[in-house]
Amino acid sequence: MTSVTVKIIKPHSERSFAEDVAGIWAHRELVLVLARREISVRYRQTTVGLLWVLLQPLVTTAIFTTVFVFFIRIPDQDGSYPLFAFAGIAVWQYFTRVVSEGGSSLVTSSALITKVSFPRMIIPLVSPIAAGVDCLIAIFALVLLTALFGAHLSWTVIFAPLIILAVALFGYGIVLWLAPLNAVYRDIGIVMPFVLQIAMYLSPIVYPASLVPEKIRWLYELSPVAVMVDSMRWAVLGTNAPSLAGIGVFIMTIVILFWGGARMFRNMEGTIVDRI
Amino acid sequence: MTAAIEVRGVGKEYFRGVHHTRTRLLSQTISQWGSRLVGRSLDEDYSAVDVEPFWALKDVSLTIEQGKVVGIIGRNGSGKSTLLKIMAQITAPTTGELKLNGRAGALLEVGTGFHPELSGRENVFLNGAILGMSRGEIARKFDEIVDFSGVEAFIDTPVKRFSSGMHMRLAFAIAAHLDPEILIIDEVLAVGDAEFQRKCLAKMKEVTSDGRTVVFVSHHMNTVINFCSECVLLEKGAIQAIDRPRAIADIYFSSENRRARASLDFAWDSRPGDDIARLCGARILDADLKEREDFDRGEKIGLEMTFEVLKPGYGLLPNFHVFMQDQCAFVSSPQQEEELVPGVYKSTMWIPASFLNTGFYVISIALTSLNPMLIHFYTQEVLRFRVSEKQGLGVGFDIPGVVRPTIDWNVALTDG
Repeated sequence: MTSVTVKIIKPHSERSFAEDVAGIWAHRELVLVLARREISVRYRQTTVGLLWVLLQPLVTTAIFTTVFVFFIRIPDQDGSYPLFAFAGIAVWQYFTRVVSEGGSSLVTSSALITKVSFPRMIIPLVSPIAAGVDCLIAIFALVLLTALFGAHLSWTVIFAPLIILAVALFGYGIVLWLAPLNAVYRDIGIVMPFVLQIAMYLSPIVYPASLVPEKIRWLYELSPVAVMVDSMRWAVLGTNAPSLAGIGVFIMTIVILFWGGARMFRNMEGTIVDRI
Repeated sequence: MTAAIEVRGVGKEYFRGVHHTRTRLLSQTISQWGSRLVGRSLDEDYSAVDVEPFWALKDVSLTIEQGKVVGIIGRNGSGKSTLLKIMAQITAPTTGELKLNGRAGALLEVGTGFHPELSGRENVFLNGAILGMSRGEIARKFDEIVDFSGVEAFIDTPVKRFSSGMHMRLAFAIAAHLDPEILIIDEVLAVGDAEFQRKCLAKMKEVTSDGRTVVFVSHHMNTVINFCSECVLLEKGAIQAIDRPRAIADIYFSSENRRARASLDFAWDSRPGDDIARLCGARILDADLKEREDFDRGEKIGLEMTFEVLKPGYGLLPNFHVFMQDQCAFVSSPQQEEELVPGVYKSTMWIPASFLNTGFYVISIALTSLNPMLIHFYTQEVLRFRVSEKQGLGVGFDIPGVVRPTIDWNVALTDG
């Protein structure tokens, strides 16, 4: 008999990051099946169905347009605020879903992980993929709206999918920390919505960074959240590109999140089902 | 023979107490970090008070050879589920290690991941992928799975509209078509209707007949006997015995029925029964009318009950119920009921020599009236005895069956 696969199970996993990636790759079919389940279940038995994907950022955009343009009267001479806000909101709503759904994913999938074995790291990977489809549709709508109402579309629009991917990586890096921690300390799931809401108002998502006092504007340029939102605006709306320093910080943040998050996840995953 | 599964010194520690695992409040963790920072230990304040460690498994070593169908049996809390979870890679061991030679698949539940909103078809692909089948593999087996489940007509209906029976059958059908090199099964087979269960067992036997290794965890001794060639008995987190399933069953049932024995006497005020008749006591006898609980298959075995009749006018029928493990071997009584005047009676039944199989038997005792139907007493599992065989057929395995009567046989060469 030729046994090809030999597996040794030890108290503590001694995998490398490359083996983590290989494990996820080997289970890519399962990731896709789970993501497809998320997508097809999300809007089932709703009357407008997939239209919700667009209605959510559109309604939010309408609210912020009303508040900022008509009540607060921020400078918006060319009427480009709605597109500006829509781009920010679409990216932000995607990021929020990745972080909040991903953060609680090990707990919500406890029925699955207590019964079946597979690399646990694929569980928080499901929402970046499932929500990524929603985000792609929203950005596609943004492109259409820009073409209809806005200025000319720049060739940089081809970077939009890449930017979504970068947001996914950023969110997944955070979730690698949050998901196992939330399984043991549920406080995280409760605190998360507040933190996200605070982060939203602190970041130039529904207002331009130019409204921020000059003195602290450098902070905004380096903020990873500002970088990911401004990158999308640059790609689709042709606004100013984020600074190179900002992009550098963004990439460094992702590397650090992955490096530490993967270690944390690996240390906790072995006994996570005993502690959920 | 190569080993499919090697378990080396595996132990698993759990914590009972607050939250029954090592869940601590974030505040406690932070205050502990804080106190460590200022060099003061707060450890005594918490660990001793809320959590109490215990070992669900202790230093378990075991080798399961390729192609064997091995049962793991034990009572609740014996550690069998923990061992199963470690083998299935659901949770990591605290000590030791485990080596799996071959693609392993585990079946701890049927229908894991089934989503009520999705159709039967979608769920087959979903559950199949969760259990580790590739998309191509599921597509290839799809028709067979649907056919096996018998829910063809509803395959495109959301499973929330399924009856629980249909749900179960579809889930089982997928599970039965799983064929990794090493299959680890929990006692999921213990549910579902008997007919379908048999069909699943047959399918699994077919799957396992070509050199696959199966580990089957259960507390259903009869399923283990029917299904497995070897059995591991776990008790209190340690391996108590590894043997053929019947030998294990003997140990399992003998330790389970501690109340049972070779004789029993009831005190006058605790005799079971009604106002017509009561049981005084019972004994197991050998040919010399001596109490005994170990017999050779070549000996006859006497079962005797003593009962007192309090009221005349009822037809009475004493009867013995003979069980092997949890299966009824036979029930025996006199040919006819008899009206007895008040008094104390002894009634004896003789099981002929070379009638029972080897193994462990448990006796229940009853006294019945047929017309009108009345059960005066039915005392369950109160006597026990063991039958062994010094000179037998010399086969190296257990002969199945709750009885093995010696019957006339004739083997002759025919002319044709």
